[in-house]
Amino acid sequence: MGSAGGMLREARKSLGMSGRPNRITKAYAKKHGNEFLKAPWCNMAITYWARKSENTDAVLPGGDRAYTVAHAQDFKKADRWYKGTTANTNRAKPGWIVFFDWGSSNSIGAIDHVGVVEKVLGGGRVQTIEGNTGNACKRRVRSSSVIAGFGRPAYGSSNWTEDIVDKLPTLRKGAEGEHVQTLRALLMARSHPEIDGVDGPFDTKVELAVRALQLWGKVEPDGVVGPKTWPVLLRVH
Amino acid sequence: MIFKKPEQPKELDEVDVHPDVHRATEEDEEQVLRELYGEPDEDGIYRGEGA
Repeated sequence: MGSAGGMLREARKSLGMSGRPNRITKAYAKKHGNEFLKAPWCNMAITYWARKSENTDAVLPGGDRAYTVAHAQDFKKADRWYKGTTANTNRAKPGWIVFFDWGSSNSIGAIDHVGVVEKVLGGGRVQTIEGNTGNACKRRVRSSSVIAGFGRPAYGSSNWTEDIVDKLPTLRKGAEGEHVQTLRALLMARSHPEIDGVDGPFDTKVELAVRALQLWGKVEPDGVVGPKTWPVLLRVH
Repeated sequence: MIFKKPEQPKELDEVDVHPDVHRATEEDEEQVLRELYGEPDEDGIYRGEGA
């Protein structure tokens, strides 16, 4: 059973992929014909990530898709379509499929691009991962003014730790705020008494403690607290 | 179960065609992504730890 977290992990693996044919178009062409090898691949990327993360039924209610309009129509038929209003953009969740029309029409027939929501930023904006934007797979920031609508995949009941980790920010040296307080408290609870209190910045002392914790947790010791390090801090890895 | 209409390769001529597909549509995109994921790599990709 897949999950939104699994879908996003697959999408992140494709960041930086570029050119055609590429791994995504080759996988699609293998099933559907060589004419897809050099075709526009934003929706093929969604199909690829869904299949790799065992989210085929949830993300592809009508089966594999390379054509954005058909994919959006599949969500509409499944009663899982939300128009790209500011309110719906603020209500979107990580893992929702986001379709773009660029002309504020919110018309399915006008859709020519698609991505997956990675973070909801508020203010009618989302941060996405998109295939074939600038001929590569990249993170983007998009507002409701260019969003035609969202497909809400019927993901299975997700892992609660994935849900939590997906909502936590990536922290590095110099960061401040309540999440840094949480980090400092967790490091203190993980036998790092040199972190003398929850109040304070992400300083060199915190970075060294994070690196030590990462070594213990068999995570790359880069001193950055992100989706691989939070589970170690929370002891759920 | 939704009946799937076979895709025609010609339909893909309508995919990823608008210029905005390929460029930032928010003025502060780089700033937002830098705050979330740190500096981009040499290809301009914001990878962060999760990539």
